Amino acid sequence: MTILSDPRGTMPMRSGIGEADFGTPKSNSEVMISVTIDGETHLVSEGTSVMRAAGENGCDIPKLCATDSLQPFGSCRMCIVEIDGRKGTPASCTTPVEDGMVVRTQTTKVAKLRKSVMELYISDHPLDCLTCSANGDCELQDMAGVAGLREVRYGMDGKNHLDAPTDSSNPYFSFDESKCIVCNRCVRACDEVQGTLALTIEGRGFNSKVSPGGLNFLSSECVSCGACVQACPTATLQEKSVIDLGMPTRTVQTTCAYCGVGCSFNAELRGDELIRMVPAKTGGANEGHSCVKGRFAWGYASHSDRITKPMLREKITDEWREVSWDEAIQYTATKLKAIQEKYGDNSIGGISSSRCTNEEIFVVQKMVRAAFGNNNIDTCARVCHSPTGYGLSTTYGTSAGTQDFKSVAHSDVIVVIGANPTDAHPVFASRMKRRIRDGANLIVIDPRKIDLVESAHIKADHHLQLQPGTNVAVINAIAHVIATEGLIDEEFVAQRCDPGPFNRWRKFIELPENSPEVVEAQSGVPAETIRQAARMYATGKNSAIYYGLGVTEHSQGSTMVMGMANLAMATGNIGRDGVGINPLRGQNNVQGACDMGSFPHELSGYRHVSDNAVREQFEMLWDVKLMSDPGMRIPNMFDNAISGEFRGLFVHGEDIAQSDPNTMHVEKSLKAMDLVIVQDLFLNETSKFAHVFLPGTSFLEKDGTFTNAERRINRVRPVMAAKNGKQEWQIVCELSQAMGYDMHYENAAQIMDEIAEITPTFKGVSFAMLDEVGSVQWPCNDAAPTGTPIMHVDGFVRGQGQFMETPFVPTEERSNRKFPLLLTTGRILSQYNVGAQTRRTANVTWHPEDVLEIHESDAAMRGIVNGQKIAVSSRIGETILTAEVSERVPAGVVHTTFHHPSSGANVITTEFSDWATNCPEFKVTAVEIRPADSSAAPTNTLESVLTKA
Amino acid sequence: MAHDIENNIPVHEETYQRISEHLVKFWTPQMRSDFYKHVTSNRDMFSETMNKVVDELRAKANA
Repeated sequence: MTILSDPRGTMPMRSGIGEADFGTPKSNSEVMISVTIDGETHLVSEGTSVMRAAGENGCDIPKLCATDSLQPFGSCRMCIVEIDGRKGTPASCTTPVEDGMVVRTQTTKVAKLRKSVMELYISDHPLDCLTCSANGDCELQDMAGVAGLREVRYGMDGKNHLDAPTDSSNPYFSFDESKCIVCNRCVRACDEVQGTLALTIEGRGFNSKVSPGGLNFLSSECVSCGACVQACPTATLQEKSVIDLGMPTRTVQTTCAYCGVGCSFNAELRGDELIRMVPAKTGGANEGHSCVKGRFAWGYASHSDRITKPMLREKITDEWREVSWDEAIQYTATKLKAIQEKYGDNSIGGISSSRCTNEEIFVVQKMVRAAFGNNNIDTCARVCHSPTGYGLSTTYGTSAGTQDFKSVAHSDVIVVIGANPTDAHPVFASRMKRRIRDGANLIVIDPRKIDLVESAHIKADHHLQLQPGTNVAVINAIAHVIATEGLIDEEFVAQRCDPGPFNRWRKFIELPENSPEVVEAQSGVPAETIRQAARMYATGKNSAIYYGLGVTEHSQGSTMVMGMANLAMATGNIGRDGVGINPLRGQNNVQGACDMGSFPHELSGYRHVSDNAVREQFEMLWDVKLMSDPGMRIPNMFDNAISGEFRGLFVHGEDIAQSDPNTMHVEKSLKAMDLVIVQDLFLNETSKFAHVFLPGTSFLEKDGTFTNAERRINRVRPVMAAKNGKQEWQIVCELSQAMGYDMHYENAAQIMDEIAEITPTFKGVSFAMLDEVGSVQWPCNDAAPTGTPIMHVDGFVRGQGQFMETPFVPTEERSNRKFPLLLTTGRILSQYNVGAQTRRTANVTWHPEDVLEIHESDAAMRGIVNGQKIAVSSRIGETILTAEVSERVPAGVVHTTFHHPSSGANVITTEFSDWATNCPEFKVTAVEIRPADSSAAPTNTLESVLTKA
Repeated sequence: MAHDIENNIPVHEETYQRISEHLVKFWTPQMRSDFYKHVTSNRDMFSETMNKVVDELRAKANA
C-alpha cells in the first residue's frame, strides 16, 4: 500500500497557512536554564517542555496529540526523544527541560519508533489525501511525511473505523469519525479552552471514539465555539466552508465586530473569497479562542440583502430610488442645510455607531460638530454603557474598565453582576471559567440563574437572586457589611482616596437602612447570603467585579456603577492584577465610540465641550468655531422631533427603531422629522422612516481600529473590497464637504494620526505602531509608551479616589395588580443585539425567534404551557412571544431577548431611564401575560388566582 | 428628570453644587431654559435646593 504523503518532505511548525504551533504552552518563568538539543545549547524558560524548547530554537519534533493551546497529554508517542542519562524514549511534550539536559531528537531509534507509530495510525485512516478537504493542512499527512512512511504493512481489511458515519448536524462544521485518530485534542480543547466539556471519549481501547455526549453535535451541549475544529489535526472536525470551497491560501489579520471582547482573527482566503475565520493566537484579547459568532457567523457580509447603492425617496411612503453617490450626497447636504436655514443650526444631529471603527466614529462626530455646527451627536452607548462613563469618571477619573482580560487569572474572588458572559462575552467567559475551575470563588448577582450559577465544573458560591431594580440596595448592603464588620482596607483608603467624601460615604453606608436585613425585604435576597458574599469579597486576596447591562440599564445605573467603584476602593481592590471594576461592553467598539467624543458633552478623550483650552485646540486643528454647550442626547432628539424643533437625523450604523425603548415613541419621532439618513448594511427597522439610505461597509471591508472592553486598540484590516465602493469615513467626509466644511483624509491611518494628535490618551497610537506590536491598551502616550494594561496602579486618574453616596431610590416602574410581573431583557449566545447580522447567518438554527422565559408557577397560574404563543403587555404596548417555561427566572420575573424585529420586545419597554445619563431602564418593565389566542383583557391576575385559591 | 437627579444626590453641603454642575454639564441650553421656566411657575413642586439651583443658574444665564 502506498502512502499519499506531504511532498514537501519537511515538517512545518505550522500546517497550511496557520500560525506556528510549538506543541505546548509557553512558560511564563523568568528563570532561564540551559539545554542542549541535537548538539546546540540554548537558554530557555524554566518549565518549558522539551518539545517547545526544541521548536523555539528551530528544531521541530514530530507531534500529533500536542498543540500549544492545550496542556501536554503524551498519548500519541510521535514526539519521543532520547535524553542523556534517562532510560527509554520519553515524550518531549510532557517532559520539562532541566538545566544541563542533553536531548537528541533525530536518532535512528526514535525515527524507527515514530515510523512504526505512524504506520499504526495510518492503518486505520482513509487513504484519500488527494481528495480530502484537509489536504495541505493536515498534521497527520505532515507527520507521515516527516516519519518517512512509505508503506503500511497492516492491511485495511482488518478491523477498522473506515465506515464510521459523518455527523453533519452542526451548520458550520462536520465530524467525520472515519478520519479520527482519537488524539483527544478536541475533547481537551472543549475542556481546557472553552470550558463547556461537551465532548468525551466513549468506549475503551480500539473502540474509543470522540462523542458529543452520545448525541449529535447540534443536539449536544456544544456551543460551536470552534475550538475543537481548530485543535483537530486531521479533517475529522472540519469547517464546511473548507469542505465546499477548498483550502485557503492567504490570510489577513483583523478584529471581530461582534461583542466587546474584540477577538483577533486570521481571515483566511482563497483568492478574494473568504473561506474561514480562525482565531489568532497572537490576539491579545482572545489568545486563539473564539465563539460561534466571530468564528462562523460572518456570512452576513455577503448576504443578498446587502444594499450596495445609495437610495433616496421624498416621502417614507415612496419607493426607494437608486442614485449615484454624488446625487445622494448633494441631496442630503442640500436638505440638511435647508432644514437648518428654516429651523436653526440646532435642528439637526447625528448618532454614531459602536459597530463602526474609531476612525469612522471620529469623523462622524467631527462632521456634526464642525459641519452641522452643533453638539447634537450621541451614540448607541447612550442605551448601554453611558452610566459606566458617568460612574467611573466620577469616582476614578476615567471612563473605562480598570483591568486587562488576563487579569482574571489572578482573581481569587470573582463577582459577576448583571452580566451573562457565557452568552454575551463567551471568549472572556472561558477565561473566567478556567480561573473558577482552578479555585477562584464566584459570586453571581442576577435575577436570572445564568449558566455561571451552575454548569459543568462551575458552581457559584453565592447567587444573589435579587428582584430587578434593586441592584443599588444590594450593593449598599454589601458595603454596609464591609463597613460595619471592620473589613475596610483603611490603609488603602487613607493613601489613595479623598478623606472627606470617604467619611461621608462611611456614615451613609453604615445607616441601618442599608443593612442586609432591611435590604432583604426590598431585594428578596436573604440577609445572611448578602453578609457571606460581602465577607467573601472583602477578605479575598484579589477580588474583581465584572458587570454588564444588568447594572447600567436601570433608573439608577450610574448610582450602581459608583456603588461598585466604592466597594473596590473600600476593600483596596484596585490597581493590580486580579482586581478592579470591569464593564463587559456590549458591542465591539462601545469603548471606542465613547473615547472618540461621541457624547454630546464631550470631545475625544472625555474632555468637556465647555473646557475652553481643550475646545481651542480642536478649533485650531479643525479651523472651525465649536459650540461650548452640550448638545442633545438621543432621547432629547426624539422628544424635540415630536415637538417640531428637531428635524433632521443622520443615523450611522444603528437601528434605533428596534434597539431603543418605547418603540412607538421612537417611530413617532422619526416620522416627525423632515430628513432621516440611515447608513447601514441592510434596510432595517429605522430605514422604514428614512429618506436617504447610504450603504455601509461590513467589518470585513473596513480599514481602521476597534477598542475593546479592556481598552485594547486593535487593527481592523480590509479582507475584501468595499461592496459599496467607498469606506464609510469617505462618505462622511464627502457629506461634510457638501455641507460646506472641508474634511479630507487620504486614508484611515491619517484619521488615527489626527486622533492621536488631539487626544492625550491616544498620543502614541498609529497604524504603523499597531501593525508592529499587534495591539495596545490606552492610555498610550509618553508616560506609557507600551500602553496600560491595568489602570490606577499608583494613583487614580483623578488624583484621589472619590467615594460617592449611593442612596437607593426604587424605580417608579413597579409591578402592580394590572402588571404583576417584571420583565427583564438580555442577549443569547448565538444572536447579537438587534440580529441584523446574526439573523442573516445559520445562527438562526439555535435561536429562530425570541421567547419569553417564565417560571412554571407564573405559567401555571395563567394556564400557559411551554411553546404557547402569549401576549405580553405593559402600560406602553403589547407584543406576542412564545412561552418558554423555565427555572432560570424566579416567580414574578420574566425574561426575553430582542434579536428579532418581529417580536418587538421594545414595544413594551418604557420611557424610564438612568437619572444621570438617560440610559433606558430596559431591565425593569412591569408586564402581564396571557395566552395570545385570548383577546380578552388579562383577568387571570396573580390577585385573582390567589383569591380563588 | 430633575426630581430623579435630586433624589439621587444626597442632601449635604455639596448638593447644591452637584445638581448645578450636573445641569450645566449634561443639559442643553434649551433644556435648562425650559426647566427654569417650569420651576419658576411651579416652585411648590420642587425642593428648596432645586429652587435655589434654578434661581442662581438663571441669574448666571441672564448676567
